[in-house]
Amino acid sequence: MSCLVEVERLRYAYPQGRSALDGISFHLSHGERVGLIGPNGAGKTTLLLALAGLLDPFAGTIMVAGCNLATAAGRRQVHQKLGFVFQNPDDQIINATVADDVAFGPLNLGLPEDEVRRRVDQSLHRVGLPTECRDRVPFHLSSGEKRRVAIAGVLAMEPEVVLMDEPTSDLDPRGRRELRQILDALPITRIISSHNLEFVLDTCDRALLLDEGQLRADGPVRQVLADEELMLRHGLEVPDRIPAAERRAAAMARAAGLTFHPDPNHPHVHSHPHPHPHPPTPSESPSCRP
Amino acid sequence: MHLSDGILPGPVLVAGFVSAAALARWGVAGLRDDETPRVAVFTGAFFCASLLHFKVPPTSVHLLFHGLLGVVLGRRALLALPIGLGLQATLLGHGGITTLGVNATMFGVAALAASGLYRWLGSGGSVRPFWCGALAAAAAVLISGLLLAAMLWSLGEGFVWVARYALLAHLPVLVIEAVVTGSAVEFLRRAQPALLPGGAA
Amino acid sequence: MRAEAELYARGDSPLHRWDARWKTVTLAVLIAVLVSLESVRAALAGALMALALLAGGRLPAGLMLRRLLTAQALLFPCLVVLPFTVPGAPLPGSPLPVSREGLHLALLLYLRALAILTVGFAMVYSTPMVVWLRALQNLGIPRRLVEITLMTYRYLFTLGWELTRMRWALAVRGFRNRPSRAAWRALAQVVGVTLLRSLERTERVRQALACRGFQGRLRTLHEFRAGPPDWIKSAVGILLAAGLWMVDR
Repeated sequence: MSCLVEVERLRYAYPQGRSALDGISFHLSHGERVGLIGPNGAGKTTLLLALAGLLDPFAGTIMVAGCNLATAAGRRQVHQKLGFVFQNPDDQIINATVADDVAFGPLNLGLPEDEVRRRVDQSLHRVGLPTECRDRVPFHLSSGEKRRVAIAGVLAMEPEVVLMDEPTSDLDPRGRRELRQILDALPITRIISSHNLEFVLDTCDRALLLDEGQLRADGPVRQVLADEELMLRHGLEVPDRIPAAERRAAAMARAAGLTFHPDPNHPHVHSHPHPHPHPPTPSESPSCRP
Repeated sequence: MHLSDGILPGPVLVAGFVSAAALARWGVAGLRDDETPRVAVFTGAFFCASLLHFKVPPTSVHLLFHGLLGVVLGRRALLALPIGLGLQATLLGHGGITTLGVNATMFGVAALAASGLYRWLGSGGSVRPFWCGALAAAAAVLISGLLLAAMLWSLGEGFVWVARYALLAHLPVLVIEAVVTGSAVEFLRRAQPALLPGGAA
Repeated sequence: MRAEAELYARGDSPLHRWDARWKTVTLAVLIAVLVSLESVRAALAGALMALALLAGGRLPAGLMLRRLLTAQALLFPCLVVLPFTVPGAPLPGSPLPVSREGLHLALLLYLRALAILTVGFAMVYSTPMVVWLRALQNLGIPRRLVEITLMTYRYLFTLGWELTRMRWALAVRGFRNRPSRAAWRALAQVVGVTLLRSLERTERVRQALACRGFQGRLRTLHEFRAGPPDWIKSAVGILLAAGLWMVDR
């Protein structure tokens, strides 16, 4: 099974009635690294919350790792398969010591203590935190360290897909560089929502552009981010380091219909051309279809 | 005002712990799992708010906010108070460890009274939110002040003056606490009615 | 507000190494005896014992003295008034109408409070809060109460920092903390905003907890291990407490 996340005609309105997601469809295969971009209020966080089974009720279909999020059982089970790193680590780190917080998820899964200990050590190691950190309290940690503890807490549950909401928002350039190194070393399917387009360019292979609750583009990250007209229209900008030639090529590709432009009324399945690091073979793509 | 260590005799302290435990037991009844973070975050918020100081010449006072705590948390205030007071005693040295039960009982009863009074005043719809909050807070300070004075009074003739002094010291606190709680309730009414009882509609 | 207790609680000394459960029980017994003391002699011995205990924690003396003074601030009015108000034989040779009984009572109260506070500080400044709370849970304090306290403790400093920033924001806009209704209203607004943010935070915390499979229990991997040194310390502590009680009779 190569299809990990399937979203079809997803619509969601806040209790106050404001529409937040308006007919979103996309599929995600194992091993894909997706950047979710868009202006403020585009619905990025709402989409992530929906994928994590935290919004109810929504219209449309969301399947994550075999869990149907339209059902209460599916929304409960999805937490064993999907990890969520929240924008503010302070919302996520609930325990008063680092070790307790990383162990929190695995203990909730009902794992034996030895296994939990192993996962705590392994996760702290994977995010580059020394073992001496274990007994430290959250308010003695820097922003970067808090971010790492939050990520370690999610990794310790060994999810199949990780969602990250604005992981760079409170990090300095060094913190961002270190986060990028941590992410590079993690062979895990992920969706990263970020305003930091350089960071998206560095850590993702595919980009989803969201605006006003609709999916406006879906394609290889360099191609979407190099498209000047598209980016400006949705309140974004092309990262400086993309050369002019590439920008022209991206514009031409869009004109030729090579970038995905979804029509909310007629959603069609788009099999992404170059997922990384395990591109699905063409014969696998049909398995994504509902 | 808190009672500090070393004044009250052992039996009173024990009675305080017993009554505070009984109140906390009632406060925890029916607590849903997803309520835990709510109670915890609000307890922390009230703890921090009680560190704000208010100028009352020639000194400055810290408010307790047990009236507002009762209004916002209702019965859950009986959980928040022993936790908040315990952390205050251990982290800051305010109040006392041995008097934790007595203090929690004193403020718990006052917070419950404030909660009841606020609901009763608010149910008619004719009393302005400011006055609902202010009167609830005034009642809370008055009740905890009277309880404190009564306890000091019971210690013997020598403490009569101390009890009077304690009651007198509560008066400026009562006024400020009433104004501040009233203003806070008024503000919350406008900004987020769901935080207050009867405000969600 | 600083997390100084947390900082010193991670030091190293015989007091720090004492198993938190044994330490809690022993010091609780000691405090129970101190509370019931009726003679100045025993209270003085108790206070000295408590100070020796605190010294065993190798904590900075200046800081401890400052903390003790702040904690006793509420007691001082009592101490000043009592010698005048307690009826009894006037103190011979004193120009003021001070009674012997009153002076005796004030001294007793002061020494008792000093001893209790010192033992309390010895506990707080030698045990990380998280370890202590888990020890209390081990000793029978309900799990629910311990878990809410742990979460409160975790958010205390985050909220305190938010409050500080809000007060800075007021200060740069010319707010002065004066005894006026306008100033009180502004501070009431700060309290209100703190509560509002708490409500929003609660919602995000609830979501984050759901994502990690929270089912109402805050479990831990911490394990307590007690050995002969812990037992010996506790035995000595209990014996000393019993000694105090005997001296007092």
